[in-house]
Amino acid sequence: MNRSYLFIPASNAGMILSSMILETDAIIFDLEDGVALNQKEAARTLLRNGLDTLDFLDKDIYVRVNAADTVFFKEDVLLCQHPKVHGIVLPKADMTSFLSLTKTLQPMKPTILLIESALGVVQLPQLCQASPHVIGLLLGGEDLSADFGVERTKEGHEIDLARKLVVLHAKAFNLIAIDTPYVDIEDHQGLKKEVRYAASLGYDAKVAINPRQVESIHQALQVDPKKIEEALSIVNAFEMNITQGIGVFNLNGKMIDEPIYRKAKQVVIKAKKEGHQT
Amino acid sequence: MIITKTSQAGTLESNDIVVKLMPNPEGTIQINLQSVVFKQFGKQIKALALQTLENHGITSCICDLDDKGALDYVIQARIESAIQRNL
Repeated sequence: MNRSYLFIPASNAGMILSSMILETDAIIFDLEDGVALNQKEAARTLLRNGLDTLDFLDKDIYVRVNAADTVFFKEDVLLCQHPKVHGIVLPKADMTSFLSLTKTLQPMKPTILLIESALGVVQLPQLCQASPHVIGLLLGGEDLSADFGVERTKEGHEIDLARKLVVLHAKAFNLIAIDTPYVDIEDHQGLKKEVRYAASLGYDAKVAINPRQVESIHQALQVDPKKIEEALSIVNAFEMNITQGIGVFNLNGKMIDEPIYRKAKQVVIKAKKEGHQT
Repeated sequence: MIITKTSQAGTLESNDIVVKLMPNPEGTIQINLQSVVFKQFGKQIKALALQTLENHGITSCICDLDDKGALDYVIQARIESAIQRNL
């Protein structure tokens, strides 16, 4: 599963080129906020040529199109039919904009819904079930706080309810949960803290708005080696006990049962994926 | 197609190129290139620009190119955008 999604402005030739070799797991080429209004068509042309030419290796390629109520939407969506585009990021997602997308993009592609309006948050249950092509939810804290008419703070209390609702719906409908960007690109400690907080809620990944944020995101999402050791001892003990018909037992003073085993197993699987010896 | 007004696309950032199309009273395609890699790739860049213009049906223009190390697909994209802005 992707841990990082890096936004690359589709108008920037140098960044498109260098995105091939960046460490991010996935790239979101941005035709929306990252591109000036008078550069939209030129960015689309540049991106199309870049997709035709460059090899992005094993990275998932997404495109954030302009909002469904703009004149750029249709052409942006048509570009997403390009075979190298894995999926689409739909900004200001609500049922109306999603319907516009399904009418414009045939066949549909995997879609990440950018939840950045109060309406989008309220419509989460419908949006999550709107199509099997919906694969993920991305929280957009900046636009969301603007929609609420409140100040966006580093602590993020103004978006906390939405942050929890987004991950709740993602888990309920088996979708990827991607946390909002951290806009202070110099503050790596603050970024790591926010990534760990989002991960503690259940978020799977974080958006990066600068290549330098990617490493911090990956570091913050790594499994703690102490937890791997503990999880391994739980998994081994549970699997041994269960063969003898014992489903609940005491391990170093802690009660171990099926849910705790399952959580420990998840930690072990994640650690294996990260290349830890287990 | 004859270019009848001035249009421009691209930036002066690394790996990009500024393409400026203008009318040419002589009725031909004239390409003027400035490039950080003129010595190494000047001929290829001019040939690519000419081919791209011709592929889009352009028969007359002055095409000023200020190249900052753009790859072929960028040069083509910027020329295409400059043509679109001329329509």
